[in-house]
Amino acid sequence: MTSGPVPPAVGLVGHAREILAGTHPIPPAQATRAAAILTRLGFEDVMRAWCDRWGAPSSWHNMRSQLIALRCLADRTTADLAATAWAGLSNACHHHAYELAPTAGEIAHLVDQTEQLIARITQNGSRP
Amino acid sequence: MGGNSSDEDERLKSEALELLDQDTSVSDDAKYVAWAAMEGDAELAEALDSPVPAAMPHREVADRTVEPVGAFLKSISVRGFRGIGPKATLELHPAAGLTVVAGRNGSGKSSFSEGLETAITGTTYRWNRKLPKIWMENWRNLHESGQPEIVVELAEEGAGLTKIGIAWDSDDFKASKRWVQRPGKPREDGTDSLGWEQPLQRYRPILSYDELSDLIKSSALFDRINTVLGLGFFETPQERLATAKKEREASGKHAKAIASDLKKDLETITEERATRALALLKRPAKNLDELQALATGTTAEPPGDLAALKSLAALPLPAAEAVAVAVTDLQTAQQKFVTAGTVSVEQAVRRIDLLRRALEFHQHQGDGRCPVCGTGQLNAQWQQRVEQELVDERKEITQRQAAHRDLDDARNRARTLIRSVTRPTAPKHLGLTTLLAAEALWDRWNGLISDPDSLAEQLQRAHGELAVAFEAVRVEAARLLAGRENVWAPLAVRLAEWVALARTAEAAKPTVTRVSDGADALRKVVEELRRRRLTTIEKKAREIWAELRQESNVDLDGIELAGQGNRRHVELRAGVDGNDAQALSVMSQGELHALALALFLPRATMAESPFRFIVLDDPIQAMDPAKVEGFVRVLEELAQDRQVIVLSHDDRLPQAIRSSDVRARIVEVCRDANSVVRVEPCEDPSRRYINDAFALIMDKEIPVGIRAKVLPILFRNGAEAAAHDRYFANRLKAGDPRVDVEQAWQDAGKTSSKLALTLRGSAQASVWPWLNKSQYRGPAYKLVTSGAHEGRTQLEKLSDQDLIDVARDVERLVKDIREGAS
Repeated sequence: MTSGPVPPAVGLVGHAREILAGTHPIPPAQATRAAAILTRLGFEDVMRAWCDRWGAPSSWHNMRSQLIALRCLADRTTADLAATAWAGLSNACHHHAYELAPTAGEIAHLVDQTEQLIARITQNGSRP
Repeated sequence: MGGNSSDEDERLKSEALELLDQDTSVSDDAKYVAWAAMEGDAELAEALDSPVPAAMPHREVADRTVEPVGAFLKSISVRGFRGIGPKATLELHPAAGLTVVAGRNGSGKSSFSEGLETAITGTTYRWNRKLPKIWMENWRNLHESGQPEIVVELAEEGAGLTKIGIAWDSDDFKASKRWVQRPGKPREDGTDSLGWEQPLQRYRPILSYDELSDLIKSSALFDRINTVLGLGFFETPQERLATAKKEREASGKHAKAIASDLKKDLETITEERATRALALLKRPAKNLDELQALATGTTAEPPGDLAALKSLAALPLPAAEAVAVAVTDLQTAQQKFVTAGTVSVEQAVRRIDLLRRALEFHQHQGDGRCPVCGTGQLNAQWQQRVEQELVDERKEITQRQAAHRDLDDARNRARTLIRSVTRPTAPKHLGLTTLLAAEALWDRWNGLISDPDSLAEQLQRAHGELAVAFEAVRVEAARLLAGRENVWAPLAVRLAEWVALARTAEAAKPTVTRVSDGADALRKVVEELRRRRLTTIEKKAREIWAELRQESNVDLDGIELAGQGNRRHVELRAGVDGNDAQALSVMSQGELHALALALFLPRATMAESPFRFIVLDDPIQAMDPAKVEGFVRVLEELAQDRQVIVLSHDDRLPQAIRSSDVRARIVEVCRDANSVVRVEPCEDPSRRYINDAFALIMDKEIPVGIRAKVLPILFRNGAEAAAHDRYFANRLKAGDPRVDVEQAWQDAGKTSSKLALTLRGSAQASVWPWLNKSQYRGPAYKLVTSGAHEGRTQLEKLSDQDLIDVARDVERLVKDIREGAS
């Protein structure tokens, strides 16, 4: 996938970054969570794209087993990136009692990680 | 264990000598002195008493890359201590790797780390820091009636399983008994035989949250970093030089203090010598000879007042006897003179002259009339009479001349006597009351010189009066003199003492300079060594910080130990978005903690440390999530060759470990009622692979192709991880060298060889006898050792239920391997 249309994951994460930068008219209080949700969608999208290569049905949504599979079949850096980004994103997208909303800096970090993951999965290998 | 400290010292010494040698800005003598200070007290004393030797001793620089043998933690058992009641044991995997001990606050997990700390150091950081009375009284667990005891098992390289224990038989925390037991040997009291005292100071493998917070206080950090640099050897030589300098400066300082006191006291008296001494003391370059002469009274000419008093006190006067003699002489001479006649000698001489000419005339003219009177006859009768007269006359003249001469002589002697008495004088300000009378009497005495006729009559009386007056003067002068001496004498003594001291100080001055130069030279060397060693730590700290900082905009640019004494601190230079700043002032609390960790970890993982373990008690309390991720990576990196034990009170760290493929063990500590503490292993690498496998099997949506491909990998990894743990634990516990164990593991290669190595001790041995002991082992073994393709085709055919059965078999096999089942 070195050419062709922009993968949807890239677009989603791009939006997240714009929200964080303040270019979208979203109230600041909700901006971080909105950005986190968009990033998470982008993340799920790129993972699905990876699974597609294994002929997986699009109904497969179990992220834990996807990550386990990625761990066994992809390189270590990609697997680590995916695992830490996912842990961060699932944390950021849910409202936890006793926990404060993630800071813009933390979400920006997750956006970075997701972008790196997209780049690794779409550009080079991790192919079957 | 811990490296022979004298070897270490020798290395440091040769390094220091090499540096000294290279430093061209330091004099040979300073180098010599610095060298002597490193050698010992006697050598330094000798060096300071003698000039530079022909050549400075040289030494080969020893190799310092050898790592000492190390120890891993095997278990920590605690009873009746802090939060733990009945005996609880934290089993640890005694090899490199990461273990997280999770437990809620109050679960008793910190009691394990404090127990460990207490067992190996005899105390705890908390204890040392806060000294809380309440803690002192409540260190014992109230739910345990038995005596508190802590036993730590260590897998010690080259020795095997060593136990360290600490026990108490009273409530006094300090009254503990510590012991060490090496494999196959009896218990030894105390822990000295471990040789850990110095390494514990230097590499301190235990870091609590309290300590982490304190680390950021700069002077504490300075001390910690300074300790780990291991330059403690130089403390003694530096102290030696400081002491030598102090000793040799002591006379100078003492002299200075005494001089200042002396000056104060001298200022209070108006005594000439005091004034003079003060003037001399005030000069920057003091003339010690002159001061000494002043003090000891050997000055060639005493100054005016004093001389005047001294001479008055000893006012000379001829003795009365001498005066009496002179008077008698005078009187005798005078008597004789009177008797010798009153006619003038001159008149007689002229008459004799005339008669002699008349005789000559008679001789020429013969008898006849007297030409002078014209009536008398000059004849033989006349001639005869006159000649007789002339003889008599001459005799008389001679007599009278002698009497006159005698009188003159006697008078002259009396005059000399008078002149021998000098006029008493003294400056008016001395206020001598007796002097005036003496002066008047002396004037009268002296007046006798020009009054020869009354000499004999008055001399004695004048002398008598003078003697009385002079005596009065003498007495008064002596009294004044004594008064002055009383003031001066003590000062003179002190001045003399001071001069002696000043001379010693003067003599010591060149030595003081030499000691100072030597000390400077040594300090430069130590600073350079410190800088060099710090660079290593700095590099590691920056690497760790780079991982921990994540999105922080603070760069760690450099670490420097700065200042001395109370002003010592660690200079942490930071770059904030490219601008220079002091790290400590721009960092958040969380960043500071991360930074403290970045600084602590290199120290605890130095190659020279005998501790193969690091215990971190709740290091992530103040960390934000991104830093926890970075922290996990740092831990993973450390865990490559260290046993890293992290105590964590929340789930963030286990979560972060689960979400990355870090091979970690997670155990959970739970505290039930009555301080019963349980430790439950909840995760380890092998268990995780199996858990993942079950997760995949349970996922109904997963494409079959993927499942069949991934499961064999998980099974194999699980078996290998279990074998790895078992193999390392077995061999390290036996005291085998770490390097050998790692090499053997590497060499084994294939999964089957690794299992053989673990189960039979040899990669070539057959494992079937062991496998055949249970039904499930064989099939499971085949699955985990088969190639990826084989495994895949094997699994693709299976139903979901069959898959679960297969996975159960593998799980049991992995458990058997992990637990070392027979």
